[in-house]
Amino acid sequence: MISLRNVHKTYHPGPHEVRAVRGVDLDVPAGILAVIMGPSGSGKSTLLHLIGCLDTPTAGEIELDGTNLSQLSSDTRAELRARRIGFVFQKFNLIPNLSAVENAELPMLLAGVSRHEARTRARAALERVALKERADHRPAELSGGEQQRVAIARALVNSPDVILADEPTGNLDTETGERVLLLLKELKGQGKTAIVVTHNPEVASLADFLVYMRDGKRVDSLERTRQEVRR
Amino acid sequence: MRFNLPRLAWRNIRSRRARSWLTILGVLIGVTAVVALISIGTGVENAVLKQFADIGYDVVLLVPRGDSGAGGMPLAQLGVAQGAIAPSTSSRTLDPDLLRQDVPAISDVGLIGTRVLPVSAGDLSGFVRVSAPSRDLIDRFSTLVGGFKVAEGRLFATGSSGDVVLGARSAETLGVSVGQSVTLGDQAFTVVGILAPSTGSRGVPGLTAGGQAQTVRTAGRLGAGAGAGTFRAFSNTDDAVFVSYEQAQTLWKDQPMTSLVVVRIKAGVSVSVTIPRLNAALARQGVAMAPISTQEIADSIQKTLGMLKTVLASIAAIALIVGAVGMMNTMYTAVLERTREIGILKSIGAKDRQVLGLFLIDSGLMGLIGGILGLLIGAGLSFIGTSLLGRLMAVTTFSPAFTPGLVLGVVGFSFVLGALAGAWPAWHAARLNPVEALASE
Repeated sequence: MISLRNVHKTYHPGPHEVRAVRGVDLDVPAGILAVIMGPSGSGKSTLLHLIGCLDTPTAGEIELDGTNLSQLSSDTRAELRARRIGFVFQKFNLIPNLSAVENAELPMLLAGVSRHEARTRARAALERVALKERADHRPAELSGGEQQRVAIARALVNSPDVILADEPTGNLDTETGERVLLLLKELKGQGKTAIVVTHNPEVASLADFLVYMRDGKRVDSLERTRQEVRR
Repeated sequence: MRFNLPRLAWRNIRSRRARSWLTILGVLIGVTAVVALISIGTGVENAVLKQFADIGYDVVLLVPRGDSGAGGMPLAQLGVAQGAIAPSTSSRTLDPDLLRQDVPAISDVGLIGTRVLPVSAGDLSGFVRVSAPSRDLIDRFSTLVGGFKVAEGRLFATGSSGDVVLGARSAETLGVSVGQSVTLGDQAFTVVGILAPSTGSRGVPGLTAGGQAQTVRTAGRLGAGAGAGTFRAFSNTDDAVFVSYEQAQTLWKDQPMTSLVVVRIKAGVSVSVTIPRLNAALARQGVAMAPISTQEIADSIQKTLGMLKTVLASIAAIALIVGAVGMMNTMYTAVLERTREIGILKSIGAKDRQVLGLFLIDSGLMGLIGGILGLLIGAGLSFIGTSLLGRLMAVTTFSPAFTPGLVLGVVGFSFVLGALAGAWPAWHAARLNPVEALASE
């Protein structure tokens, strides 16, 4: 269970502050696939980073299974990212110097899993995303879809409870996007909680739960009204 | 921490190969300089100290006082209390027997004079160093004159005149053997013996193959600083020729010779306590000479060499610091370049200190590689350096010294230096905000 209470996030990148998230309340029950949609700059990625312990809210509280994330030390949050959260990014974010299997095993090595076990589990994870044959290739030698599957393998390798995906199909063509979609669907079947930020209506169609963001706020009802009007 | 930081760090180093090697080169040059200079310096020190150890720290030299030293003094001044020899200067003659009586701590007294004279044998001619050691000097202080082992023939007989003993190489160069004659100055001598190569000789050319004997450098001023030079000049007997002290006194009594009185202090008696007594005894005899112990000479040389070593090592250390600054630059650039990668690592659960560790090991590893290569190259250079220097200085048994402290110290230090140079960039990397790091290109 993930719950957000009146969460705010304000950046100060230059002379003017950017209020990326402006008071969001959200409850995502365990085991469901939630999709966050909204135009660029609506704060959906920021929200995902806050939930994923990559950033701390300026105000408000975020709880993961009852643990208040904003009160954790930097190390504990890193540990949480390593063990309980799996990230999938639009730009794949693989380490270019490492092969697919080395990328996939990194979270385990960071979490203190033995090298042997990490390697075995990383290979198994790659097999799950049908990339067993490409395990020793560097990211530059893989296609976009393959890279994203490596990233998904990396996200899943520590058996996290929560998968956070930021436009996972954004950089992929339709066919490879569909593969990623199927993987997301599988996750749902495994009882993991997934929160996916996307523009892709196909991804949205998988959602148990849709959240619309605009100008840093949830506008679910407004969006629903608009869609109904359009219909 | 099981996370395999060294391997990832190694990958990172390899992925920017050219820059890594240039960075390593910076450290390598510094380490090479430090290793070469320190090992050569220590080698010189060891070689010099070994000479003193061979001679013995119970030995005291009596050197002319207030003499600028270049030319030495008339041999007569050191006379062996022979009535025939009149003091030729205001200073009185040293009487070794009287000295021995006066200072009971003395066990042996040896005398040696040296000068350079024209030499000819057959149709060869040139200049040669002629040494005149007293019998006691040969018997009691043989290490001072390169062992003085007779290979062929015999030593000069007591009271004989016209006997000459040749150093191993001078006999070879002059082309004479036992029984033949050579002319020194205007005197004809008979070769009665030829010495075995001196214990302190190695590859020092003295006489050239053209048959023209080179002028052999005479021992310079007899002061604490030049003591080693004096010893060297005496201890390498190969290019010299020898006549008995008594004969030299008779032949060249009024001509200046570089001369030396060597005194050995009895075992168990403190040298430093005996020195003032020697001084007093010399004063009582009215002889203008001053005692200098080998220990004093060795200390003074060691001090000078130590200072020189420190200065050289400091200069080399600057090269090392420049290398470290280069490393800092490389690491900082690497952090900037890899900001996004740091963001990725953090997003998948890397702790701040794991990121810190990654960069520290990266730079430490480069430092270590630079250190090890620098050590090897420095060692090579110092072997070449000592062999050249040894030849130049006619110092024998001269090789660079690699103490375990130097080797381990250099390797450890270069790792630490690398890590330190990478510390600030690494700290910077560890503190990056993961979201901002991920957003960078």
